[in-house]
Amino acid sequence: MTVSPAAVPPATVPPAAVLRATAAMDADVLIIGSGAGGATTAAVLAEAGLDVLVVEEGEWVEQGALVPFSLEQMDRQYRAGGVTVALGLPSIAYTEGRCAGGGTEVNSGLYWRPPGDVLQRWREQFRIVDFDPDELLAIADEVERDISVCPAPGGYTEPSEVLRRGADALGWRNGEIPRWMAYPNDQPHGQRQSMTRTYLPRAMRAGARLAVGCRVDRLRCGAGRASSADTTLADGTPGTITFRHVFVCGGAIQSPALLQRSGIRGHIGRTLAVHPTVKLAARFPEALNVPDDVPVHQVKEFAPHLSFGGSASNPGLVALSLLDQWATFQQAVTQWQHISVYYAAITSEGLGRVRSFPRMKDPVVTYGLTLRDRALLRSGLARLALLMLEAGALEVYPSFKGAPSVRNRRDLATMQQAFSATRASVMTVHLCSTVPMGELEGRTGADSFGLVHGCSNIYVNDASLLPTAPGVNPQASVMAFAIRNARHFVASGGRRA
Amino acid sequence: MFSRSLKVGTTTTQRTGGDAISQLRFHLLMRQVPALPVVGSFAERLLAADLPDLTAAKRREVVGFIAHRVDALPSFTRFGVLLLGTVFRTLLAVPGGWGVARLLIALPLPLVAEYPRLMRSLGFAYVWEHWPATTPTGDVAVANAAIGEAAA
Repeated sequence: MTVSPAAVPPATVPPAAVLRATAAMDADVLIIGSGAGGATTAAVLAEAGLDVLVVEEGEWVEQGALVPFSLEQMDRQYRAGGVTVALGLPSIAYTEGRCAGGGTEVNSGLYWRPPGDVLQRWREQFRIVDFDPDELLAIADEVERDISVCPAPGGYTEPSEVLRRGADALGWRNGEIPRWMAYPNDQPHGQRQSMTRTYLPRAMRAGARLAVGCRVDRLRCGAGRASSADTTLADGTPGTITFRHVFVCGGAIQSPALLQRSGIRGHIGRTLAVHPTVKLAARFPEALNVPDDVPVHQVKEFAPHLSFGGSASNPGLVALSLLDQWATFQQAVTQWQHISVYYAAITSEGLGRVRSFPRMKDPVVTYGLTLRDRALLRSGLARLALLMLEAGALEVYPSFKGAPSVRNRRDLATMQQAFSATRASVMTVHLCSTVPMGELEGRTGADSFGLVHGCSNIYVNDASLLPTAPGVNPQASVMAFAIRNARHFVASGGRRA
Repeated sequence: MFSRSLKVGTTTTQRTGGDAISQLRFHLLMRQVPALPVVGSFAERLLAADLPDLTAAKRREVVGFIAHRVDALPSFTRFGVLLLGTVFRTLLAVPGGWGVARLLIALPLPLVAEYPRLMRSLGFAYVWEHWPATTPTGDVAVANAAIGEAAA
């Protein structure tokens, strides 16, 4: 599954090669979005000799130019400065990348290939035709080489060791999750092999053009066929792009929103799936905080329903994790160097919706947790607190309003009784399934290769296509499916067009 | 909103009469009202209560950041935040309004409770990212002096 560290030399793109979008552009194939779906699609199509234009709403930001997980990074590389929310009880905070490379530039870089049983289930339940899970896993092999999926060289950070130590003490299954990183000279801090380091340079070397600062407002469609896109440039200037085929790769929120704004209905935006997470902060005797990186260990004893991992923990984020019960937790913030933040993530049975309304620039996103989800979040947080105690935490601060601090096992029962998902800070970074793929009528928005139902030249090729939340980090699944679908497009010569 | 006639490589944009009127209505409804005058007074009051030792200059800096982030919110969320901001701003303008506002934000009211939470989240994230040694009451200077003494 993994290759040795630094097998892939970092690739860079000269800044001059990245274009500023202009008011009038055209291409054979327009790709909207440059993240895990868009960048891989661009590389496959450009290498097949097609005239490819990738447009990206955000800017190109050089890796290493910004402090990871900082507010400045959120300003420049996240949509809405990272303040986006799915409304509900509770509302669920989520984040979307908005820069060249999309979410791959800002996420933790942890890699999970799609589980085999999930792929089988998707094939059967959503009737994905001509789909061989083994073929997809072979593509995953390629991806792992291309983005240098590898374990960290040398030791782990202390926040990561906490997860391992606590899980080992409880006899819970845990392990290091490999990342798409290159570690020159086995340095502990790697270079993320995101899309701006891998597939985007590859696409551009093959002739693809990348234009940044270009938002696509809507596709102009008639008789199931789109011929042009209305755009707004970074300075507010309106523009147009003409094309023969379009791949919408804006992610699980923006892709269905664009389709809806373009008048395309059907099963679009109705089945948003996420992995909701709840958090806690844990204080230890020793200083262990790592402000600019996340732990590489995850605890999978209760997977796929429940997983534990570590979050970014700079002082600002530690303060945020204490906020829900500031009156009693506030003193802990002075010891932020001794604190790290962890999460419990669940596979949810709830569903969300993405809705675009006329003349509104952004969609309205909603999500509803089920009773089972709420119970799972409660037990997940309690188990995570137990794990922290076993790892040697002096005190645990759960992130929900009315939470007691947890110092021993007796406190766990009190915490569980006090927990209510409605009062918790629930968030997610894994969004998918808003245009599910397959041939099953009424439950899918695109066919088995991403062609939007009822359309002849509009494709979706990103996390929106995954029929359900995979129960693991979805980026590997997104990339593998995007490559599969792009290759099929090439092999079929642009079907029905 | 616009009708476009297309030629490959060029674009012309024409605005029709009906479109122009609906566009004007939309802009009146959703125009970019700067967030600072709407959310600023409440955010400042909230921070002063939560972090009483944060200096006025630093508090203004934090409020500026909060307003900047509210301006960047997705349109629907921003509209809701500004609506709530207007309610709370009006409350603060009347005698005893802060007491009523405190009561309101302490209640578990859906969406209403999200407003002070958003202000606090943004504010606290900014304070501790920029001045990590800040005390729980917001005293940056004392915290930094303590660190200096420890280092000496």
